[in-house]
Amino acid sequence: MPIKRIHGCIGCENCVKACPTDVIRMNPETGQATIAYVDECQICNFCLLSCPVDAITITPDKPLEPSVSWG
Amino acid sequence: MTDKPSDDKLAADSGQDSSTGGITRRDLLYLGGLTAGALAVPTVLKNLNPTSATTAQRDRYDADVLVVGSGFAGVFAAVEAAKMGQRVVLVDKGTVGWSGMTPWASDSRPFDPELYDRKEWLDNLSTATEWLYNRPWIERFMDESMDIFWTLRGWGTHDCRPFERSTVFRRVLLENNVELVERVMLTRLVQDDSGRVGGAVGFTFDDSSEPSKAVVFNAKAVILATGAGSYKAPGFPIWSLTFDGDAMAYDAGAYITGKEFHDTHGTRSTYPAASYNNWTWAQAVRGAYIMVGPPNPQAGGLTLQRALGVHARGGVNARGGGQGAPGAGRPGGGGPGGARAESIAKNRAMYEGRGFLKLPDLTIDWGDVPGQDDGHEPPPGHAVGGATFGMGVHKGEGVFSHNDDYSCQADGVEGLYAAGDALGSMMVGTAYPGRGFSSYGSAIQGRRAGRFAAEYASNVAEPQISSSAFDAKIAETWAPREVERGYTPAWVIRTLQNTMSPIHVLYIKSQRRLDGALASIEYLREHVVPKMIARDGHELRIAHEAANMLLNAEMKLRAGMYRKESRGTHFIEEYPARDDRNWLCWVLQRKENGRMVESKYPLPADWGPPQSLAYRERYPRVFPGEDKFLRDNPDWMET
Repeated sequence: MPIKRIHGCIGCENCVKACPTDVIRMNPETGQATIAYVDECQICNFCLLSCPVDAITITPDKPLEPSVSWG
Repeated sequence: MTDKPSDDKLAADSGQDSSTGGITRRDLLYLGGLTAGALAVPTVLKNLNPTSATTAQRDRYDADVLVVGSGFAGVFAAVEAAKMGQRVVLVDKGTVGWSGMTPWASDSRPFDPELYDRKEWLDNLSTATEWLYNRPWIERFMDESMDIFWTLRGWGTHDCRPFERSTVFRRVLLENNVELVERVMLTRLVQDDSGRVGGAVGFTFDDSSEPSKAVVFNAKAVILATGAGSYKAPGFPIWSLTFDGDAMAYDAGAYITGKEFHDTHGTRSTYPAASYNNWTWAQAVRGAYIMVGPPNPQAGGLTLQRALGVHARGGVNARGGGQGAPGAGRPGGGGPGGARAESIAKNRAMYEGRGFLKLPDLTIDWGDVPGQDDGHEPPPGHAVGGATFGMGVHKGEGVFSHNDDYSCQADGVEGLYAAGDALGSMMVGTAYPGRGFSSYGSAIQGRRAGRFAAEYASNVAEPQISSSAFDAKIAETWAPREVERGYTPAWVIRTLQNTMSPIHVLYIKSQRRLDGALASIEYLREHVVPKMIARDGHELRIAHEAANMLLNAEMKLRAGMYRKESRGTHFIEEYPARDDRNWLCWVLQRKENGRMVESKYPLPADWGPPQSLAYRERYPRVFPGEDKFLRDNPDWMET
């Protein structure tokens, strides 16, 4: 996985704004950031660099995801 | 944007096994994984969540000058136009300072007139860019780059790391009363009956708390500062840049140029998709990281050799020799340490105490810059190519603008301007001639576009555009949300990647292979794009990105066929030599009657190489097969 986990989010939205490719979204119900579109993660680490509480885990590998999912 | 240290780049001369270049079978399987994935899954889906454009909410903004993009070009454009009293709105697909390649830009090469010789720079760049470049833009770079340095220093960008400029840029924009519209993707320019640009439309893609909205902009002038682009290739952090500016300008009738040339960054064989691994050095820079010394006449930061890598060993750049041998692609020649370190040390010693580097409160922590001094551990694996396929040369591709004022106005489209990597200014030609020209070059062009767009906007009436014209563009924007059954954008992108990423399509060209790829790309553009489905705001964004990348692919293939010579990073097997008589000109592409049409734009005669220079003096790099071709075709240069 590229961006793998967000744990301990304080809801500052920094990572949502820093992500260039719209991978992370705020969950309006929990007020926390969630990984929404991991296929678009380019492993740039901007979410991690912008997080004030070190809540984000990223790994450098990126296996191929299926290009469509059944809707 | 800037390049990473050259010893981290595709090391074409690293002495690896000549048959595979040291790439293991496992690496190839990994890199080829895209193909298997795209073919393995069904492609036609039912859109379970369609919505209509007519029911979408709309936001509206009014501006004198609309700036698209918030990198170096966009920020300087917006600030300049605002300082001239214009009402400026800046729109960005991401967030100011985090968007595009600017947050990765770490170094620059300002021209210090106290230290450098203008003629030496021009001469060196002429050779490095293979004579297809733009001298007045280089002159402007030399005139203004120090001023950009001092401006950035005044803003405070020399006190932070590259991504931390986001805070600085935001503050400066707000201090200058620039209105910011973030996380909005623009899709179409809107024109009046005469073709004058008078606004744009786009949409909000983040629908996590409310549905996506259409966004409408009215503006007297629009500046595209939308950066470069790639096909979302693994290993380079440029996935958000998908040629959106080119696509909007092309749709509006502008000329596009420079698509036959490439930027050729590589990545690593281990974790090839990990963009950040390749850029840790850049984010370690705090301060003004200044390139020392004039550009090398031959080395170039990004030659075709880098793109071809192991495949063309002994081919391009095999000759040239001496200090700064182009095959090495490294300032001063030689490997890490040794001659290169010696050269850097010499240049730095020359620099210190003479220019801005010696200012007591300026922080340049060289020790933090991996690759520049001893102690740098490169990322695991070895260098491999292809991390930027689809990407053109900085400032060498994009919207074509050529006039005596160097106003950055798009030829043929009133009210439209471009700057930075979105402007096909040809500033540094057909092969990026070493690091340091990109970010300050973008800033210089942005400031200039801001000034001319502001002057224009202050002298024209409000554009008269009917609401139906806006409605039509919104309908085009929204179309993938309305399609009920069709192709997912992700599949379209995978198929595009499969078609364009092989090294033998864009980097080692032949007419036949270009034709084959074009047939597939044309089919996708004609038959698949209109049937892309978008089930939410995110997918609507991906759908437009896919369409824009496909348009770029068609441009790159057609421009590659049209230029019947090899030069810089453009190499085609049928014509493996430069042809100064016929091809010291730029290729322009424009939509005419719905079709993409190519034409030549000759460079002024006095920009080309002096007739007194022998061929190999003009072009010390050697393309594969070039010597034999020239022997077999003794009249090549005379025809």
